Amino acid sequence: MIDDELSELPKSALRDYADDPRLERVWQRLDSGLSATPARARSGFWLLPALGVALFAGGILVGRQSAPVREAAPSVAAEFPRPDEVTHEPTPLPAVAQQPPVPNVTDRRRPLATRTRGGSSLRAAAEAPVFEVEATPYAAPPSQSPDWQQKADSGDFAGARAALERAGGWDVALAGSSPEQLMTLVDLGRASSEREQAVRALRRLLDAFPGAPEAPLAAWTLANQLEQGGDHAGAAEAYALYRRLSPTGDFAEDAAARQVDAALAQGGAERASELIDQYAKDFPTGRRLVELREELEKLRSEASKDGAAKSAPPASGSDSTTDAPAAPAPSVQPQDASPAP
Amino acid sequence: MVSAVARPQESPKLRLVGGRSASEREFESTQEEVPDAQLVALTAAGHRSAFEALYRRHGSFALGLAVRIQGGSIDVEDVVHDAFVQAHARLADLKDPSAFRAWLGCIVVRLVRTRLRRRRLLTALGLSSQEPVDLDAIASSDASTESRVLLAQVYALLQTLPASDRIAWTLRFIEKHRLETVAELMSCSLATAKRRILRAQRFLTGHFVPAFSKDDP
Repeated sequence: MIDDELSELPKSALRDYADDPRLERVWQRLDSGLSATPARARSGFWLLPALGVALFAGGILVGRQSAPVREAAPSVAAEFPRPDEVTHEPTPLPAVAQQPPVPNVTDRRRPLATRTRGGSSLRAAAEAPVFEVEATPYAAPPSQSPDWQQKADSGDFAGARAALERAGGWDVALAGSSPEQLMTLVDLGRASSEREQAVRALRRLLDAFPGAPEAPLAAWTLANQLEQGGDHAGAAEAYALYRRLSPTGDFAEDAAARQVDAALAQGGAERASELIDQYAKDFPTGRRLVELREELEKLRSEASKDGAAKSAPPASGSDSTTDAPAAPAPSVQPQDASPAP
Repeated sequence: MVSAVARPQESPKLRLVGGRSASEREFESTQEEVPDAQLVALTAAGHRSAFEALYRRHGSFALGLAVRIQGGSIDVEDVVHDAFVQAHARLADLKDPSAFRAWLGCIVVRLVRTRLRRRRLLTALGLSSQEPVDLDAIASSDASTESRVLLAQVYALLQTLPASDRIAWTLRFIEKHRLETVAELMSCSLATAKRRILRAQRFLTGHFVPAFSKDDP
């Protein structure tokens, strides 16, 4: 994968521009420019005539390059007789001087290739395989995106809401949207503080397009939304889903840690312990490992205190050592925590 | 509001007090330690040397950023020059003077994006040709052959993408900025930045060919 290859790219592989001689040249230009025009007195009005002149000159230049004027034409006209000299005899047209061939602008194109400088670079380029990018067109998104999506993409969420209503409302959009459009709907829901709508769009994306590139991000966002809404069991499932969809993604470690958070929030010490072990296995230097273990110990000690208090009355015959309170057990299966292929 | 792009911390030792000559003397003696916010304030007050200090501090960042997001060094001097001219002219617009570096980055990104779009349009009209990838401008001379091959292929693929997608992906995976910083540098929402990165990532993943296997000696 390209991610893996790039993650192994050392920072030293990129050129450092700290001592580039061009910096000094640019400063000389800046310095002379600033000397000529004080910053505070600068106005943009002088740009208008300059822009006009530049556009005019540019137009002439482009015109000359794309359609060269045949300079012989006026001389042809000059050799025609004046009206009073016109006779009824057919006048043969004079021969137009043959113009030299106009060089084709495409002839000046450089080939699409990686340019190198210096001997070592040439050697490296010679050793390296030549990559020719196939002329596969970039799969651009459809230009006929709905009005609400265009407005949302430009940040106009109020306008997007109105356009969405005109287009049939939330449910209609939800049913017929692509993964990308569903993510826009999520943004729209979140921007309007309509968490339920955002969650519905996220669930729709994960149900209908589990293999879409947007799916990991949708799972992560869903987990956040559910956690904010107090649905810890649902959040734990969504974090587990994120880890399955993107085992090495940007948020993989956070997802593992927050799975533990969700289990702790539900009071499931055993489940939390399992998840911490999995977290430690997948991320041995995990940032929150120590903190989560401390939280687990705290939960266990509190549970044992509660258990002791409950076992004190003689009427209690139940198993007081169980750590899970009345909260429902998460439906996350154990295999959820392990990265899937 | 832009946030500061990661760079070494500065110790704010200079305090601008009194008249201009005194502050200038103090500034010149402790130029390296003056924080950006103070340099911005001094520049806005007309101190040429403060602006030069800002340039000396952030010029290489602007140059490197311009080269890496456009994939070559053609016209980068103009980009850096124009970026600093714009920054100087619009210092009053900078709400958080300590975030000068990120703000400058936004200007550089905007200038490069405009240039790339213009170039793409001219190429589509047949009035210009596609610029080659300048690998020596991107990769250091110490880079391994594997790194150079990787960068060559990635940049060759990036050239076929729309400017916004290409820049967003480069900021995320070459410059290794966080998603939030990418959004700030591109002056767009986080969701838009994510979508641009995803689109580019999808294309690159579909076309990328690993040049070296892990088992290669």
